[in-house]
Amino acid sequence: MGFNPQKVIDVDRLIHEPARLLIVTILSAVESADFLYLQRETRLTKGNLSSHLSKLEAAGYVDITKTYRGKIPLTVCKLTESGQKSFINYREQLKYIVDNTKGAPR
Amino acid sequence: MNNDLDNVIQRTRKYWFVDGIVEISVGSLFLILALYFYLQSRLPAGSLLLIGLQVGFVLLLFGGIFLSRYLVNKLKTRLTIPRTGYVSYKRASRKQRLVSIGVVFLIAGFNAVLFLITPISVAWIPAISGLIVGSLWLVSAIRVGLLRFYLQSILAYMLGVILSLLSFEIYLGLALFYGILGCVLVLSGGWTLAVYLRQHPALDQNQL
Repeated sequence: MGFNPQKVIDVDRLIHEPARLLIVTILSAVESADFLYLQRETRLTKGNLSSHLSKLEAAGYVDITKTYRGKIPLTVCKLTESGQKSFINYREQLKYIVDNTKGAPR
Repeated sequence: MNNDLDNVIQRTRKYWFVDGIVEISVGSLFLILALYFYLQSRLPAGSLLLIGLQVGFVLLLFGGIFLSRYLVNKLKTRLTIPRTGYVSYKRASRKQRLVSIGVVFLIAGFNAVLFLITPISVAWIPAISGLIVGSLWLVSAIRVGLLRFYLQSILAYMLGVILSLLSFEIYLGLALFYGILGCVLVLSGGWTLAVYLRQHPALDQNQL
């Protein structure tokens, strides 16, 4: 079976961006995580993280809610079902590309 | 690259144990168990207190589990969330919960059969406890990749075997097993918490 270049072209560019990929990967492992946790793990500035989260929210990949835990205000982010599916699909595409380019000359 | 993503996922799972609070809570539960088994070994058979203890064991165990969950959440809200953020984890699926219940019944059944067919096996109760506790701890260690969990699971295995070989009376053996393991977990968790608090000072309200 030959290599299908369409799989490379079809890669979800919204998730493919490194910072957003990191955010989506973290959120895929949990029920939800707050802004502070994401900021510490991704090492992005508040503005940068906000901007990436807004893009993911606009695409319907992430749900963002403002809540409280005790007296602490939290901005909680959660991967939606659509976000979860897109991430699984992205990983499969990535695996396909890596598996099919292993023998490529360097 | 998929491996890097797996590392990120494992790191996120590891976060629940980053502050040592869970270890302190499990260690405290083990110390309560140790006290229970110690009293079992020391109180005269048929005494009112002993009967009360035996009747109240399930209440003590489940009460302890509920109380420790409550305290873990309280402590995390007070100490961890303001410093490094909040993460909530996915609940186990129905299938995963059924498998867990199945494994518990399998282990219980295996132990029951073992006691019935071999008279010597009673002396090996601390070793069997070590096998169960060590295996549960090993599963956590593999899942989150924490070195101290691997060491604690090895300690549980070894401690159980050593106490069985020393042939203590059954309840005293169990008291020593849970007492030593509980102390190790509380100390390890306390050390982890101290390091965590030093490395992550509390943030100002403006920084949140």
